[in-house]
Amino acid sequence: MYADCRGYLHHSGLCWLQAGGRSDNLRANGVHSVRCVLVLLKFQHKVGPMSVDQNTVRKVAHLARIAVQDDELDHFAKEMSTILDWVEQLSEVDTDHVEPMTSAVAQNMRLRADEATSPPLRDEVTRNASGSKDGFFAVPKVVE
Amino acid sequence: MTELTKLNLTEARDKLVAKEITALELTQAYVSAIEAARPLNAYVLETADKALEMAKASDVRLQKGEGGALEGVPLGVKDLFCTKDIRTTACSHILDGYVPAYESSVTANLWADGAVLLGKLNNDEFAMGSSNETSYEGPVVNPWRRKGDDTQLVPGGSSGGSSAAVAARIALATTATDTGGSIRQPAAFTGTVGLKPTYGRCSRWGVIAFASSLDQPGPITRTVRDAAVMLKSMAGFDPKDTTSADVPVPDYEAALTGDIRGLKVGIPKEYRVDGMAAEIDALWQQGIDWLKHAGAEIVDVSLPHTKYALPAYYIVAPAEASSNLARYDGVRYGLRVDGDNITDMYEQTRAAGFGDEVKRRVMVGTYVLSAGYYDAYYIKAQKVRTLIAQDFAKAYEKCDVLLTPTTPTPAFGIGENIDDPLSMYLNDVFTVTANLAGLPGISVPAGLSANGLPLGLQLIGKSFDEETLLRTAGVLEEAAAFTTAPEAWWRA
Repeated sequence: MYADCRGYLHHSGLCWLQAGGRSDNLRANGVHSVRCVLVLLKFQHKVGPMSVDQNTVRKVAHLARIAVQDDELDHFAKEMSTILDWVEQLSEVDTDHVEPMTSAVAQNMRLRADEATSPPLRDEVTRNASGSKDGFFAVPKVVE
Repeated sequence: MTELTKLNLTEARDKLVAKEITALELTQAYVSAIEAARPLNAYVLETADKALEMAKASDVRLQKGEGGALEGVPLGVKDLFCTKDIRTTACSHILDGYVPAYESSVTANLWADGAVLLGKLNNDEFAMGSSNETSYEGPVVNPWRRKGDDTQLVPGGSSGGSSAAVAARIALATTATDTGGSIRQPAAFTGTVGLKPTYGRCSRWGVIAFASSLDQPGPITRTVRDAAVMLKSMAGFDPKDTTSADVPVPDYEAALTGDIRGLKVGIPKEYRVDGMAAEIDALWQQGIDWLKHAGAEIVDVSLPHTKYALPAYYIVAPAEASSNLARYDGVRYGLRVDGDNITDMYEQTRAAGFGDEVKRRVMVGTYVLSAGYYDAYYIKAQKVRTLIAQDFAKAYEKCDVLLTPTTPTPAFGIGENIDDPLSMYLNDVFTVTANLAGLPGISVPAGLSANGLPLGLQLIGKSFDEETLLRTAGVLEEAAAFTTAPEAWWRA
């Protein structure tokens, strides 16, 4: 089945599949087109250097405050590279003189008076805390 | 399945008002159906006691003739909606045991209208996924199976519990959220109706945030009329959500006139992709013929930047997610894993609390927002988003609504795509454009694949014109006459 998928991604994510000889068989079950995409994308992303190396993963993971073990670095580097290489196709689009979208629906940000609108909620706010004491959030010691 | 759970929402509502049935017996029928459907894993929390209590209160109001628009109607709620004093975790380990002290605005609106809470529904962790397989609570099983094949299929995602529950008749309707297709794709996979309203139509307050400029709550239902009734109750201006739209909420049910004579329906050529499953293409043509036969005028339109929508989405959504999910720090909510110091505590907590897909997106988001990359990725993607919105604006100079397929394939098997993020992302290729442009979209069940699985057609409307969207969807629904329901194999 997979051997019949002579597809390519067209850099678009849209024209992702051209069925080979057994196309009727393939099309009879749409599920397989997703599988083919999987094969095609893997093929495509073997080409070219990885955009994210292990050091970058370590740096980004720290910025994101997610502990990553050394034996996970390679896996994350490959996955992030796959995604970032794929979004790279946006560089084809001419966006000179285009304003970035700031709101999906045209509207102005509303302002409100700077005043308390609810009764004190200290107990409600802290009730889900992993540690709390006397109405405060409790964290490990940060000052020696 | 009892006779009571066969009624759709509007039928049940009318019988409740006419006092032909009581809210209590209807709710009891659902509570039993939910217990029998546990193999589907659609509910992550059943609230039977609360449901029966709410139903009794509804019966009192119905007796007095004081019932609200959804009085006594039993609903399921996606676990992304905060429910006061009821555990809400977004199906993430990091929100273990979180019990909100407040109610989301959308669910508050539903309870104010008399609806009954059956329980909380499974979803992809923080709504990140297209198959419900990233949930910490485990995957949901699609009530539908391929003909003569008992392979377990996904119900779509991220609102997989919501779609499965409606398809399996274990909720009259459900709430869901849609960031890139998370209402419409699961609806298409389960033979249900999924409506993503215009951005700003339903309040996001109290909905656990994924990507704030794209997230929008909406209903999954059995019929278009049910969707109209649900939207009317869910929608409305909310001062607590800064992006909530201060516009009137029309009577959507009244918009279902069945008359689309003279309506201009656009067919975007860019959605006709090479190698699309022949049966999806054929269904699309069938949909065009149905609308034409009902008196609509078919117009060819072009949305030239369509192919850049998915890559733009996978910059914008992870970027916003990395910011929104920064709040899960082991201090204020849920899980805490101790570390050598406070930074280590944050890092260990987030490593243990987030699943793979969430980590991947938070890290991609952190990367594209990091120093030196912000303009190249995030600003670039937001510019492409402007171009995508402009494509729609131009198309709507020529037409009133767009017709497309909802998904490129029918439901696939559990485990088939989970190891490859990009192939999973392609599920949303036809739905993500509406999120980027903030437009309303609806998926209507329109036929079955050769192997017996439901297929959906999508309509995309103009901003805040859910009325035209629903009216057209009603015509499609009637023409398709999709009445098949999955066999209740899980009851065996």
